[in-house]
Amino acid sequence: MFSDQKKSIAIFFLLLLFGSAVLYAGNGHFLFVQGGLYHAAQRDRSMSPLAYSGTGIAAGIAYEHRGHPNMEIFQLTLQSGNIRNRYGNTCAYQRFAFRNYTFYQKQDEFGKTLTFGWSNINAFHRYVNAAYGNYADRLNYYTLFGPAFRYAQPFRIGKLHFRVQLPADLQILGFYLRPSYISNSPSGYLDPENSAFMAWLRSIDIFVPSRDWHFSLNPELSLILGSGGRLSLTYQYQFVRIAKPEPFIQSKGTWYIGLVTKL
Amino acid sequence: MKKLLSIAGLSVLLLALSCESLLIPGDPASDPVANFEFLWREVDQKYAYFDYKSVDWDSVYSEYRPQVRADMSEQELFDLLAAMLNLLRDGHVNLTSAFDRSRNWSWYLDYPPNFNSNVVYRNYLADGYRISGPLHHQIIDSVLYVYYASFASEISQANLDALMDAAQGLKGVIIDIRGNGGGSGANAYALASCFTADTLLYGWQRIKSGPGDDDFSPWSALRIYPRSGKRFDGQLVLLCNRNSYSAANLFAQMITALPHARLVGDQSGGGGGIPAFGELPNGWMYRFSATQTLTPQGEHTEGGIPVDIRVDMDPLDEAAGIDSIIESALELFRNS
Repeated sequence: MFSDQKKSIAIFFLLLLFGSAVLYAGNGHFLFVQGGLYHAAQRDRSMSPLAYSGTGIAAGIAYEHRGHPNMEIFQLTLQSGNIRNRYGNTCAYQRFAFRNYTFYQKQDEFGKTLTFGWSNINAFHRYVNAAYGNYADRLNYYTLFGPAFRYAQPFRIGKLHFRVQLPADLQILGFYLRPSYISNSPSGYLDPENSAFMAWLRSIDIFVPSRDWHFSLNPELSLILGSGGRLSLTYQYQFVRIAKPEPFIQSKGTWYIGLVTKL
Repeated sequence: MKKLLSIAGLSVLLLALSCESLLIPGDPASDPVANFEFLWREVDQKYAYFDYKSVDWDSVYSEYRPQVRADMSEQELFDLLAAMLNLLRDGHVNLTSAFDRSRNWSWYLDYPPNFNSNVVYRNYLADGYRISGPLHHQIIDSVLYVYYASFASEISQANLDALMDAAQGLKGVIIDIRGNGGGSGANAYALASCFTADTLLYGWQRIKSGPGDDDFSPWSALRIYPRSGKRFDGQLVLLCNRNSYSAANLFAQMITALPHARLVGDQSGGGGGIPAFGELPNGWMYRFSATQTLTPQGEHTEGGIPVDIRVDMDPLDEAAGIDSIIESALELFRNS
């Protein structure tokens, strides 16, 4: 049942991205294709007292619309690899996320810009402990909203145009689903009397700022191409801490090389 | 200059952020006391059978905690923790390190073996028995005898089709799971579903849902659904001994729900709880039962499933190459 829910949400986000792309097609619209490597370190106390860390591959596709006054970014990312503890035990790790930013941009895109807005992130983390015969899976899901800012600074070296930018966000509202005390099934799904909706409703926990944390910093260096597109090097850093039912904490950085095409 | 500062600033930021592991607090202390406390607490909060087994885990702490010394060797710590876990009298409880694996096998070693694979393979399966995946079978007196050594060996649908084809037109089927120490419940379910045309309730299960003694999920019904492919609706006899454990115990529980089935031999070994795994701060792995399973009548299956017809292997028969338990099962078909 949870697997079906995951698929449904994934399809929903894909449709949302596609719909957004159609809606905003025209000048000031950009498509990103990104590939890279991530390094993650995490501890899920429901699985182990030990930290697990490792490196894997990452891929992403994003759509950016620069209008007046808003600038919007939608990004889908997929990450896959292995994480291991200091004794060598491993977990297969995957992460799927959909994120969007809306910035209220008041200045010319080629000028120095500090703008504010909001962000939303929806993410699945799944990891499977190779040494556990039962209850080896852990699947975390969260949907969060929070304020965001973006600082951009264009500059030139000779005839080449560059831009550095730093979007960042801090999530303050939302909910999450986590495995129950022993099994991967969220707690609401352990009661056979619950309908699918009630099981979901009884499984979610509210994201409480200061008890729970989620923030990200995403510095990017871009070479502006003559076509209006750009070649970018991006580092996306994300920190997440979820307190219930047992603490999950993750610190992850992803290096992307991306090609941005103007639509 | 401004451009260079921007680039330098960005570089510093990127380098600073490349140390993801630094923001994760370090692993907990891994001294003997910390490992003991961690394991004791995990069992205290997640083990499912304290009440059923009348184990006072607090008094276990009082007895064992003073024996933990900061200077004890790894072997000494392992032996102490293993002895503590052994008090749970549970075959699903283990502590695993690189140098040893603790276990409690009293659930079958304290009872007669009631199984001799040489007798089975030489005199019952004998020449020409069929091997359908993990299912070894032979027709004996118009009865299909099936030996399944481990539920860890996966049964395919094609294996089941072959078994059902072999059983058609015969008086019945004997399934022998003596010595089967368990494996995957999915294999148990797949095999059991071949022998029912109706959906049957065979038990109840619940899982620990919090650290409190009574923190369990609501009971969930366990049901067998009829296999959609070939089935056998005739008489079925299941042979068990005390070494039929875990998934084999679950299979015996399923078979007791069938109206046309009987259990022969010794009661199964138990193992009604599904083990949850974990690891200590020093990297040792452990597991213990975190669920409870009941029969439809509300009896715990942790201690095993009683048989309908209790039979022990006769040593004189065994010496003569005769399996007293298989003979008793065959006799049921001769008399039916």
